[in-house]
Amino acid sequence: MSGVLEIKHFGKTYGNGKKAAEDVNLTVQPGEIYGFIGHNGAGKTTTIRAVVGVMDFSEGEILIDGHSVKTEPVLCKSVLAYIPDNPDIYDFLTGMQYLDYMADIFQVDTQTRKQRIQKYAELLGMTDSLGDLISNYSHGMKQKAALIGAFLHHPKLLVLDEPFVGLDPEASFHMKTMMQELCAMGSAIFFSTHVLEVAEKLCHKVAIIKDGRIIASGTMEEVKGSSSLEEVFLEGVENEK
Amino acid sequence: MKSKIGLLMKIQVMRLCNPAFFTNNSDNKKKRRIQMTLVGGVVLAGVMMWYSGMIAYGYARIGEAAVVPRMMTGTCSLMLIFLTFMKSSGSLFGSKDFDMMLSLPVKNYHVVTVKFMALYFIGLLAYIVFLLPSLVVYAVYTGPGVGQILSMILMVILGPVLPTVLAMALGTLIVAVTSRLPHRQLFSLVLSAGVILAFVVWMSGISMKGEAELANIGVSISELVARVYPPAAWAASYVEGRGIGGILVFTAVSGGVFGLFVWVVSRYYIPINSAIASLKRRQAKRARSGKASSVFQALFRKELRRLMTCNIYALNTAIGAVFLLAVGVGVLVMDPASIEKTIGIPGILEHIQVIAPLILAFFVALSPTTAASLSLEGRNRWIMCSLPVEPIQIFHAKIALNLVLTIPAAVICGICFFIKFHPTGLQAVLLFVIPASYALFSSVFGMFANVKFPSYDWNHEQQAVKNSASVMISVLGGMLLPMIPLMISLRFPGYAQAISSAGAAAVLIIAGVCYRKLKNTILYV
Repeated sequence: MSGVLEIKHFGKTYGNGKKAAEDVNLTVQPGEIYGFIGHNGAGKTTTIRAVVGVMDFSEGEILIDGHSVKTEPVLCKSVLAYIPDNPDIYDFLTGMQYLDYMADIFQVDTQTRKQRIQKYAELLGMTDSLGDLISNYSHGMKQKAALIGAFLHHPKLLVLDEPFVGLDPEASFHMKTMMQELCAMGSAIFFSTHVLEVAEKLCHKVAIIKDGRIIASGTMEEVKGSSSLEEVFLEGVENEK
Repeated sequence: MKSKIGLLMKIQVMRLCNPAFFTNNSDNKKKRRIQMTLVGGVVLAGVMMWYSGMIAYGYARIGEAAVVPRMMTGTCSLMLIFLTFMKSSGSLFGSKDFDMMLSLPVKNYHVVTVKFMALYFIGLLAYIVFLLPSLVVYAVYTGPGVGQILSMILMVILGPVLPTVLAMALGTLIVAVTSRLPHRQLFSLVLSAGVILAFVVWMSGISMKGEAELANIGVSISELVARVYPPAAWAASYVEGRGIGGILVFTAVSGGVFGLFVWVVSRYYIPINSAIASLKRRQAKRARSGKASSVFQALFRKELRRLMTCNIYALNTAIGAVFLLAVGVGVLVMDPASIEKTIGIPGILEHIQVIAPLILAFFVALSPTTAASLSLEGRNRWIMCSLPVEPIQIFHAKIALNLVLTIPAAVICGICFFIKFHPTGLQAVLLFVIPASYALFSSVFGMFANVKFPSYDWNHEQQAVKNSASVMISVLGGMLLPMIPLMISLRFPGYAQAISSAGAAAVLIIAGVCYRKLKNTILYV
């Protein structure tokens, strides 16, 4: 069954010869939350950047909703939303101007954007801050603004790189709720994280990447069995050594 | 104190140019870009040095070399006050590295001194480029003694101190006062443009004057400098043979003002930064979402906001449009004889109807917004790369911004020329078509240059707007491509219309080629 996201034999070698990813294969189905875990420099961000079309690659194929990221990038990007690990957003705009900008790019109509901005801003405690310049936001506030911008058009695929870093506990809780709500509507979420407890509780499936290669993947039960995800991760990393 | 200031200075310099980059980096494209920027900078410095030397030579040739030191020092100082003022925003107060620097085990005065020194060294470079050549020419003609030579060296070394202090103090005051104004950028832009324009008109006007007139002007400028900027007169006193007192006063005042500035600012550094930070932070308002608009409108609006919120970007790009408006107004209000004197080319008014289009084209193509617009995406570039828009749509919005600035200004200026000089038929048509062609060319060419030579890794917008290869290439192209047909037209005025039309056609072809390449561009982080 074809998924919302299909990564087939993806590989990426940088100009200096460093192989950041090699023969990466995974599929994310509609309604799934897929965790992507690995140590620093394992290849998570490289893979994610290739998925969202912000980085070129020569090996393999990546399909979003059946369309190739390489040959139909605009079509793929129209159904996905991406938030990097350090979401530097336009600090010369106010929060609301940024959200309006994102809504215009994704062609969200006036009424729908108003409702969704109000809903998500209230949930994340940003209602009173959207009139302020983003340059005055803290790191967490910028993340929240980026998050609202990503949810505005209810993407089919939400791709997040370390989304929980910098968020306060309440915002983390609400973000998990938002993610589950999005999946309940049939969308899929693909995110990388170092916080294994969150991945364990939230994700339907998980893939562990080390030195650019997937060393374990599948449903949470298949991957961790009776152990904790942390034990499986450390064991997998140790074995590969 | 020395070692801590030295270390902080080292970090500041490495932020601008890290030697390790060249030894430990395999990014050849980036290295090439920086090399091109350096080459461009050297060429520009060479031109400025030649210009400075020629001004001094002009005065020396008519036996008025004596006015050169004071006049050039004063001119340089006034120019530096203005240029440093424009750069000072965010350098001393409200800088992004404030938290990091103050958390180190250094005293406030270490930080203030280092930040001052960073701007001082840039000013020193300007003095070496613009003042030193004129002093060398002066020395060649007057044969000064050792004492006078030492005095001239002191003029160059100490000269940037007072202008830098004045500019930084003024910049801080302006930030504090205008942060609540709705159009602070516009205010700064108009003020800066007025100063630049006055300076350019004055400098170009005197460069072609007759001998007697030049001498009289030199003397009167000399007196004016002493009134407007007395330190220039003090600095030049020993060189001019008026005794050592002046240069001693100049040295004492420079050192004293620097010390006082560092002491005062250090004492109140943290409270001033906190106050500015709180001034910038508006009362949180309940903002309302806007009405839906098209993708192009959204992209364009973002570009416009980028321009209006970045002082350096606006000043360095919109300045051409401001010049155009000023030229148009000047043409309307001045009599023909004054216009000819201002331009400085005798007999030019005979052919003004046919060469005016190229004069307008020069200002139109001077400094396009597109040349730095992609670089200014900086750390935000992941947004434009991940959005469901073709790169050419993004480029269209950036190109449109430059056209919106330049074409109305060119039309208004063209109308002024039309009213004043009554061109007929084809002359009148070319008065608008040729500047528009160059506007389109500079917009597209600037965009192409920035795609070829992006510079995303800046810490301050100045690095993207002023110190980048794409901007230099665009400025040089924008200056040369109208100038070449203009010079040829002045030589062969009977063929001026054909020459200017051919020039416009050529730049449109270049624009077409660049546009085709832009269409095939894919943007990645």
